[in-house]
Formats: sequence, structure tokens, C-alpha cells
Amino acid sequence: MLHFEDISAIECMNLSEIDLSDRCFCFRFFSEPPHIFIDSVKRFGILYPPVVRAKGDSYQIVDGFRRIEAANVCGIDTIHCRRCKGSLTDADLFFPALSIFLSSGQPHIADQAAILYRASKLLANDIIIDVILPILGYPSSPKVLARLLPLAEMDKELGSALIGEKINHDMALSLMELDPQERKQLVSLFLYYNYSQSKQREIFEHLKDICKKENRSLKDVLPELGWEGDMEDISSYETPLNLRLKKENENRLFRHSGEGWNPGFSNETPMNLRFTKGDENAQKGFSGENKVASGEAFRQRLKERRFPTLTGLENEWKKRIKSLRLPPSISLKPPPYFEGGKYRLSLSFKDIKGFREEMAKLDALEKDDAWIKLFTK
Amino acid sequence: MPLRKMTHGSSCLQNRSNCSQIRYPINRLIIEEGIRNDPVVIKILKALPGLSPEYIKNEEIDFSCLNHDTLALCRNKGRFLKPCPGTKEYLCCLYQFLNIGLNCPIDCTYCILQVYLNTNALVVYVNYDDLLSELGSEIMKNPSIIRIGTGELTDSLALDPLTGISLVLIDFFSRQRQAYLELKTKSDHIGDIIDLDHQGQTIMSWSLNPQNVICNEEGLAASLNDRIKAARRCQERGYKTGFHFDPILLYKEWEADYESVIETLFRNVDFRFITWISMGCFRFIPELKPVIQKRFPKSLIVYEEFIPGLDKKMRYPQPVRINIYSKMALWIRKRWPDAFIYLCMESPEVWKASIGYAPDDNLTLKSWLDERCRIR
Ligand code: SF4
Repeated sequence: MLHFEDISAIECMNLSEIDLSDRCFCFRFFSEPPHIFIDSVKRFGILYPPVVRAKGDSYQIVDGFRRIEAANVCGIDTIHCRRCKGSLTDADLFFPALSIFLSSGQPHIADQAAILYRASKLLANDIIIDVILPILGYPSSPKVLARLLPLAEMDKELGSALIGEKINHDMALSLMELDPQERKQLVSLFLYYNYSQSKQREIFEHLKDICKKENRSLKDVLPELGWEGDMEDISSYETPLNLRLKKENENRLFRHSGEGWNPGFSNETPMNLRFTKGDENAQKGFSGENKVASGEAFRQRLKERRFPTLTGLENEWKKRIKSLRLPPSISLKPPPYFEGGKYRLSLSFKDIKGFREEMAKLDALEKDDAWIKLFTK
Repeated sequence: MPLRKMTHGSSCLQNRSNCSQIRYPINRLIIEEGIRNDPVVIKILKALPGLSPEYIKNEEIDFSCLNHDTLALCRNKGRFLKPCPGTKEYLCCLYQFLNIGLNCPIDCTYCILQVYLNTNALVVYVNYDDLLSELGSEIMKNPSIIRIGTGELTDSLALDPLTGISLVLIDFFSRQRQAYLELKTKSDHIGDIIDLDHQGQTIMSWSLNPQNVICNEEGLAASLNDRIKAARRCQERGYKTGFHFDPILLYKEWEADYESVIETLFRNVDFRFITWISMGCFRFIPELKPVIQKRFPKSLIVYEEFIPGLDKKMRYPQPVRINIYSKMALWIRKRWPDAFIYLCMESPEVWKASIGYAPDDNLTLKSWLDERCRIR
């Protein structure tokens, strides 16, 4: 076990002596320092000393990857670090390194996945299940481990979306089943239209079913539905999410004067977003004119493809209702899914006089051929 | 797609008749302590010489942990007979189910039992005496005709070469006048029952599907030809026969395939000895979809267009079902103009739109089917 006295006082070290490639104790999903963090190091230096330990001919980083990398990017030669004394194995040092990391707060689920991934390289499975999962606040269960671990393999886009809470854990796991290109396309679709989590699930399930049924890939199906977007870096969106993340990043950085939280945005790569030719709604959405409507139009196209009979019935119903020219105070809903249940009629009125007027309108409707036709198949 | 193969090293329930060589993998045999000397148990043990039985007290058997390849022999402590659960939203024929066991070795992709039961094991109830005494007293209590089937929680004949239960039941029903037994199967295990004196009280029924559906979705079921051959043999021995197109599955070539099944059926059996033909489109509770996706990733049946029905089961949309039933009815009536067709769990609206008539209510439907049983 590592004790406080096993850590040296602050020492000055050459950056060249530190092995940046040894990621044994790198517990963040995004380990690259964000720009804003690099700027801070450039201006103020490293305020909170990283922890390293001698390993072979160089030093291994125990805590402070992003600070050291930021210093490296800034071209700094020497930094102040604390050094672990003694000769512990990587496995022995894992828990002390983890507790230093966890002292800065509860890690995000993506970082938890990174922790489990690192642990899986050093520790036996039962230790991970019985010790590390509870440390992270989970029950000791192989199922929990199996659910979390794949998140360590997320690509940048998905990781950013998960950390930004734009995609939930379940959806992230589902997206991990796709090939990387398809995943990118879908993440970009979800983020671009800012779909709620329930809509994301609906879209994902419908697309999956269509691909299975038609034996096609998502790459083929999405453009047919009017979405060909993918992006090399979702961070270039000025979406509310990205703006918020940027702000949070800045706050954290200055609050802790140490490592900021980095959702991995570079802001340098342009978004590469394309729409299928002829998809005016999507293009309108891209130009920001009518994004919500365009997002809904995509869902409608998807629904028409997945449920052709049902949407046909709905469209036919709408046509018939339109031709009836019902007064705005009367509305009629068909049986759910046109499955032979009951129609639902609603009237709105203010008082008994209004009620009588509505009833008179209904009386008139009852004799209307179009009204009668509505209920005949 | 090839048929799923039997696991190596397993003991087989092998058909003792000359029917097709259907084999079901059984790797573990659990027997309730206390029924060691039951004659049914002894008979089953003899038929499975390669397996060493594990005797466990009934209350200690954890059925939820047992696998598909486990056969559990025990006593049914509850009731054997219960009415078809039906639903108030769709017409039901008021059938009675006789539970002779749980689960089915055929293992169809679409089988509801995958999510309906709390065990994956094949459970066989061996207390036939209790079963017969309950049956006798229920029939006595019932003033009208009662139709009873064993095919709800298992296939009626799949395990018959091993258990011999149908033999016992056909014999029992042969002495009834108001009660009819329907044995519904996807197997061709008729070897043991073909020569019985059934007195016209048993209807032998087959669930039919096109051969490619059988190959892809109906696990270890008998082929279409073997089912039809078995039906013909039963007709030749004076059995009434029934055919159930249930579940009808929708796919690109469904029309040609189903019409050809109907063609094959009528070419081989005599419609004068068909008591009924039923139709029911594939429907499933939502919980079944992920199970099918996981257990049978190659099956595409859950990817068609489904909507939640009034009973919350997923169904093809109504116009799709009407189209299917109308066409099927047309193909059947081309070969048997007065065919008695009924629909399983459908609304009167769908009945009328597809086969041209509908019973007013469940009791009317029951009376129609009861009447069909009486015809000799
Ligand atoms: S034959 Fe019937 S009971 Fe057996 S698996 Fe198939 S659907 Fe289920």
C-alpha cells in the first residue's frame, strides 16, 4: 500500500524523462488536454503537481496525464512533480492511483469505463467486480461490468455525446453494436436534430428493424431517408450542448486550477455534414431555418418506411377528415392503430348554449355523406 | 437454412414408429423424489437408457435454473384443466386446455412458451390418475359439449413416444359422448395411437406452414409432407382431422408458398374428414421480440410491420390480416367449397371482411365448433 510518506516532496523533473506513452493509470476517457487547458498551462504553468514514479529508465505517470501532456504541447522542458518512492508493481499502484484520481470527484460514466478498462489490464476479474465496481458506486456484478466495459471502446463522437448527456448510457451501448461509420452517422443525426432520448431509441429501433428486414446496411438506408450526414468532429456545432460543455469546461478549469474536464473537442476540424440531394427539409434544417420540423420530417419518413400500412391508413384518415371540414370545436380520433377499437369524439364549449350549438353541428354532421363514409372501409 | 442439429452426446427420444426420425436433445433427467416407482416414470426411464436420473425433492427443484435440454418428471399439484385465456377484445371458441406438461422440444422461433413459463426445461406430469379423475369430474359437471386440447403449454404429440399420454387420453375420451379431445401437433408421432379405438371422440390436428417456414422457424418439427402423410393415415383410420394455419407468417413469397401448402394438403387428404380449418396470423407479446432476436438471430419474423392489438399483442395491421385471411380462404374454398373455416383470436370485423361471416359472440362460435365435432 502507498502511504503519504511514500510520496516525495515536490521535485523538478525533465519532461523528457517522463514516459508519456505509459497509460497504465490514465483514467480518463478523453486523455488529451483541451485547448483551453493548454492555454492555461501556457499562461500560468502547472499549478497542481502531477504524481510520477520511477519505472525502468524513465518515470511513469501516476496522476496528471493531461497536465503533463499540456506542458509537452506548450514546449515546457521541466515540470514540478511528486514522486512515489519504493518499488510497487503496476497492480499494487493501481488502487492508490485510482484513489488520487477519484479524490477530484465522481467520474463520468465514460471515465468509469476507462477505469475498468485499465483495471482489466492489471487486475483479476473478480477483484474488478468485487472491489472496483463498488468503489465506483455499482453493485458487484459481472453483468454490470459487461455493460460498462464496452463504453471504453467508444469513438470520440459517441464519447462526447455521452459525456455531454446528449445520448444516454443504454443508447451508447446500443450504438456500440454498429460499425464505426454507421455509428458516426447516427450520432450526428441524433445531435443535429437534438432528438430526445426516447426519440433516439425509437429511431434506432426502427432503423435496426428496417436494416434487418431488408438485409441492408444503415449506410444504405439512412441516405434513402434523407440523411447522409456524418461529421469528423461534432464539436464544431454551435449547438446548445456544445456551448454548455465549453462553458462547463472553462468553469471547471478555473475552479480547480488543475485539470479541466475535457470532452475531447478541438474546435478545429470542420463538420462534414451532407444531406441527400433533394431532401429539402433536411437542407432547410441544415441552414437552421426549420430544424425541428426537419427532424420531425425525418421521423415521419422513417415511420412511413417501417410502418407503410399504418401510415397509409393515417394519411387516408387525415384526407377524409380534411374533406369533412369539421368545425374547430369538434375533433375526431380514429381507433388506436385502426385496430377496430373505438373512435374518440371531442367537443369543446363554454356553457349550455355552446353545448347546444355543438350538438346541433353534430346533428348536421350525422346526415353528411362524408361523415358516414368516414366509418365505412 | 438447415435444420438445427442435435447436440452431440445427448440421449435421444427416438420415434418408435416408422415416422420421420425426429430427435430431441435431452442431456439431463430430473425426477421428483417420491415417484421413482411410478409406472410412467419407469417407462420413460427405459426409453432413455443413456441418462442417469437425478432424484430431487419437488420443493427443491429450481425449475427456473433448468435448461432446454433437461427433462423433468414430476407430479402436477395444481389443476390440469383450464379454459383458454382468450381476450374480451377478440372472438374465442371457449376451448379447454389440459396441461400434460410444460414446454416443447420442437423449439419454434415464435413460440410464446419462451416467455410465458418460468422454466426452460421439458416438464412432464406423470400423475395420469389425478389428471383423469379431474377430467372425469369436470366433464360430468359440464352439461354441454366440451372441447379439450393438450396443445397449449406443449405440443400434443411431440413427447408422446416417450410418455404415451395420448394413448391414455384417446382411450379415456373414447368412452365419453359429450367431450372431444383435440391433439394438436407439428410432429408425426402417430405410431402408437393410429390403431386405437377412438370412437370418433378425438380430432387429430396439425399446424401447417410452408416447408421453408418449417425449416427456418419450426425447429425440430416434422416436415410438411410428413405431417400431411400422418394426417392422411389418421383419416384412413377414421380419425377426424383438423388443420391450423397458425401462425401464418408474412414474408415476400408468402402467397405462393401458402397456396402451395393448401394445394398439397387437399391433394393428399380427404376434406370430408376435415372437422375444421383455423387461421391465425402471427401475434406475440412484446417481450417475445428480444428473446427471438437473441435466441434466433437469423429469424426475420419480428421485423415485419406490427402494431399493438387491442389485447396488447403485436399483430400485423388489420388490412394486412384481412388480405391474408381472404386469400387463404379463397384458396381453401377453391378446393373445398363448403370448408368450415374459423379464425383464431380475431374481431368479428375481420371475420366478416375476410371469410364473409362472423359469429355473434364467443358462445355462438363455441356452438359452431361443437356442432362440427358431432359430425361423424
Ligand atoms: S410446436 Fe408449439 S409448443 Fe412446440 S415450440 Fe412450436 S409453437 Fe411452441
